[in-house]
Amino acid sequence: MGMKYLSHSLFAALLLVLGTASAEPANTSRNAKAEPAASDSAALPPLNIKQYELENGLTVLLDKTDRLPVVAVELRYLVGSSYEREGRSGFAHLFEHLMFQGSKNHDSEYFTPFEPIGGAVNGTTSQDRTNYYERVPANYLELALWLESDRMENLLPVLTQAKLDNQRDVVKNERRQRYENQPYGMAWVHLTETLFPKSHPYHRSVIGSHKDLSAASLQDVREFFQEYYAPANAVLTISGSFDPAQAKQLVDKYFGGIPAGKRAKPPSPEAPKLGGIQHVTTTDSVKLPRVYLAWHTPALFAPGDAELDLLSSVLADGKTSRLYQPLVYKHKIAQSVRAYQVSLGLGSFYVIEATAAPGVEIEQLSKELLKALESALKIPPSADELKRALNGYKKGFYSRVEGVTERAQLLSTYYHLAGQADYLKEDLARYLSASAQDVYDAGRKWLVLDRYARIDVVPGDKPGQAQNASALPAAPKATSTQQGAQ
Amino acid sequence: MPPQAPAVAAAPSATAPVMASRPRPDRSQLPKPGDLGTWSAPEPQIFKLSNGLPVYHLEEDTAPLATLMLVLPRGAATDPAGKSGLTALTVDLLDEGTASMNALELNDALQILATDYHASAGIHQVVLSMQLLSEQFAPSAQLLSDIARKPQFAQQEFARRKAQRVAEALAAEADPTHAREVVVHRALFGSGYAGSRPSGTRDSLEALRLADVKRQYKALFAPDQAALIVVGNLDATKAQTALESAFGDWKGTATAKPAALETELPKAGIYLIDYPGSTQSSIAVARRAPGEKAPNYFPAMLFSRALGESFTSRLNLNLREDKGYTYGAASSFDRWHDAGLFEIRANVKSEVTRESLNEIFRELRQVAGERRISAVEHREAIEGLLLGYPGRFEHMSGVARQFASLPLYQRDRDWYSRWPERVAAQSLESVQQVAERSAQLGDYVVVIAGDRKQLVPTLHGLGLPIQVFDAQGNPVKE
Repeated sequence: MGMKYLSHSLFAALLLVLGTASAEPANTSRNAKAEPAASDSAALPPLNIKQYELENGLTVLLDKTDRLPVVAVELRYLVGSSYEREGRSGFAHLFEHLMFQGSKNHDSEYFTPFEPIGGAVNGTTSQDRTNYYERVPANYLELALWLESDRMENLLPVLTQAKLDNQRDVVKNERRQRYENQPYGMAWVHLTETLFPKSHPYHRSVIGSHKDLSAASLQDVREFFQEYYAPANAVLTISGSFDPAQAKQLVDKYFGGIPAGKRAKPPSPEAPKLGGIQHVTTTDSVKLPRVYLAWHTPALFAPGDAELDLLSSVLADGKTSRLYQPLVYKHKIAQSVRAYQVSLGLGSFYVIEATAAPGVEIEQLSKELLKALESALKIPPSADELKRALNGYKKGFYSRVEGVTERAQLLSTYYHLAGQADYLKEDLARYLSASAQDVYDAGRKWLVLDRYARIDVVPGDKPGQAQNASALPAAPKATSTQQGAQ
Repeated sequence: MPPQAPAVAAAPSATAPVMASRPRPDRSQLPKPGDLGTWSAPEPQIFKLSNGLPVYHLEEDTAPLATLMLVLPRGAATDPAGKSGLTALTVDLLDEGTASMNALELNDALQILATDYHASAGIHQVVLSMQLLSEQFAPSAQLLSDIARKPQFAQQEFARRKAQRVAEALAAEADPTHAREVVVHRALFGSGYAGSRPSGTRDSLEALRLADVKRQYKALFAPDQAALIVVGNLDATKAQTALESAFGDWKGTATAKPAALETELPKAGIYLIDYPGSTQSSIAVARRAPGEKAPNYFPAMLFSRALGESFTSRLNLNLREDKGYTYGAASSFDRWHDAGLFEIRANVKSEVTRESLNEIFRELRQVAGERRISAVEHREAIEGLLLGYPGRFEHMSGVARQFASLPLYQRDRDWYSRWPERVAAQSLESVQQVAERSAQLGDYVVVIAGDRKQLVPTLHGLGLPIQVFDAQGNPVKE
């Protein structure tokens, strides 16, 4: 399964009501493909996107589709956790929460006007960007633009210490709920901290540490807002049922007069490189040991990214996949195995995780996993394997443009990280054009067996006991070794 | 070949200063909506196969995809005593080999068609579903028929999947929220209907034998009261031809009967599951409720929306947005055929567990006392549901899932198109009656998964008996 865009939601309560336990809006709809036949991309709905810029630099994408009387507005700010300064991990996400606490001309809960009209509203933060969206009845487009533009222009006059303190508590509870109190939940924090050096912005987790969250001040909020929340640093996408001429006029009315600000420069860290095998062992109150292996891989949409997605299917999708069959199906060493590319703007990482079957120790699990991986990477996918892998992505491409909210998010991502909003067919083509040799080469090139991060989670004490950061456990035990896997 | 995509978009060309004199929009009030045309939810067409099996069909041509479902109105509530998890394991084993293919061959056959297959067992339902390319509908339907009608149930696949499910159950014991759900069912329904979650527990799964699976399969899988759902880019003739060939000769009668509802009422009290060192308490305050056919189904929906289902509901505004105790507090009704439950839940910081419970009980008392559901809350709950309604029909798979409720609860085919008028017809008084019913605090059980040592001293003051349970829902002997 691909986990293309990891991010943090403002809230999960409503999702829970709908029966979805996870609020991680990882886009698991796998990109599409079957055989490289012309009919595949021809079957995609034509997108008719109008793209333009306001004088103040706000990029606008209009995407009209009239199947249902609904419209989605997404406002994406080109700032995420990778832009945070030292000592302020978690700040971009905390800031996102504050955007829902009212603005000068609507100083109350952001949700209040949307709930009586059945609006679906949320915001999410990832390493690369922060987005805010609302899906509303088609005749309420103006309301969404009014409220989004007021908080873009007028957040600070009504910002208070009480709001900051309250949302700081909420976010710390989000951390407890989704990391500390979730089996294996802290592994992700350890994983990026191990894989990326301290100087790299992906080193810190999007959720941040208790200590840094505690340190966030009103002054930080003001500076962050002034630096990043401006038209020139944002993309406004409208998808669904609307009149383009009217939408254009409304966008101009509400956003046109906001001072431009500037486009923020993305961080430009040195390409991270592991010197060998970085091995970290942690404990958690889990029942079964789990090992995570991780490698640095090409950025989202860069050459190799789609090939690694396809490789994921070959490795771990279905009973006959190359890791699942030996480890889970046949020898019953592992209870489960997953492989996925986490695609990000500055550079991605690839994760293979295996959970031990009862009675299997972490060392045996790791040894067998590495052995299975080594043989899995030795031979290119067969024609049959490639077809099955491509098929897995094929349907996902159609469903990516089914709902207006997903459409708006997809187009913003394309604009932001692929360099063009109308990228759906090209995105599909990345998969259609990958050969078995390409998939094989990507695996050989990136998943090297003498340089990777390895995180072991073994049953034991809970990590992150602490209510406050000072009592957080000491850094997990780390050992570094230069030797190869075998 | 795809173009070489830059990792990051170039900076926009225009960063020129904006004219300071631009007229500002009037922000003295929120804008009024324009007109909205009328919209009505889709209704499926119903036709029958030659054996009487009904097919609920909707043609939807936005993408070359379709969803196909086989729905049975019987589920885990038919698990024999002490064998919880049996229906779920049985359903799980259907795609581990059929009369003509072993487990691996079947896996590959589905992947070659690009057909995703998924099976699930609920308390009173079994659903086998496929997401497929509509051009592969006929071969997929044939595979679904083989899966549902000719499972192999080989001993080695049984042993393998059983071991995996036992391990899953073991792993889930580490998750406080999972344990909380297990204990909520046990506390409310005992050993009767809905007393166990469909997935079963480590111990109950451990005890299952292949003969149990074969027996349960026979008792569950028959066309009587079953239905097929088809939503997608496929006309009725094509759907009927393929389904007639795959399912038209399916015969038989299901014999599985759901357990009776436990007559003994739940005992009020605190049901505690110990998670030493937990930084949060996973709380549920729950009571029994009627099933899906509840006479107050719609007023209850409006009540829960106002109390805890929307972001600006009373519970979330209080526990999250005012107090900062939690990432989210919510309420919901969960309904099955013969019973249901009403639940308030939140994961709260351990130190404020007692305070959170106090707030939850305060909200329940007030909603039938000094802060009854107001006319504004009533109106906004209705309008929110009505205006948000089209959004429930964006995804074909979601439409198919909604249609599955029609045969499951014997609803008319116009249920979804008439749903708005039914919601709109509910009076404020009817909602307030649900509130009064929900304020009878003696009906509730309190289930908490959290750090026992830290919690017990603070919970004593609530005046409720405290009983400790393990993560499988068994009382722990002191």
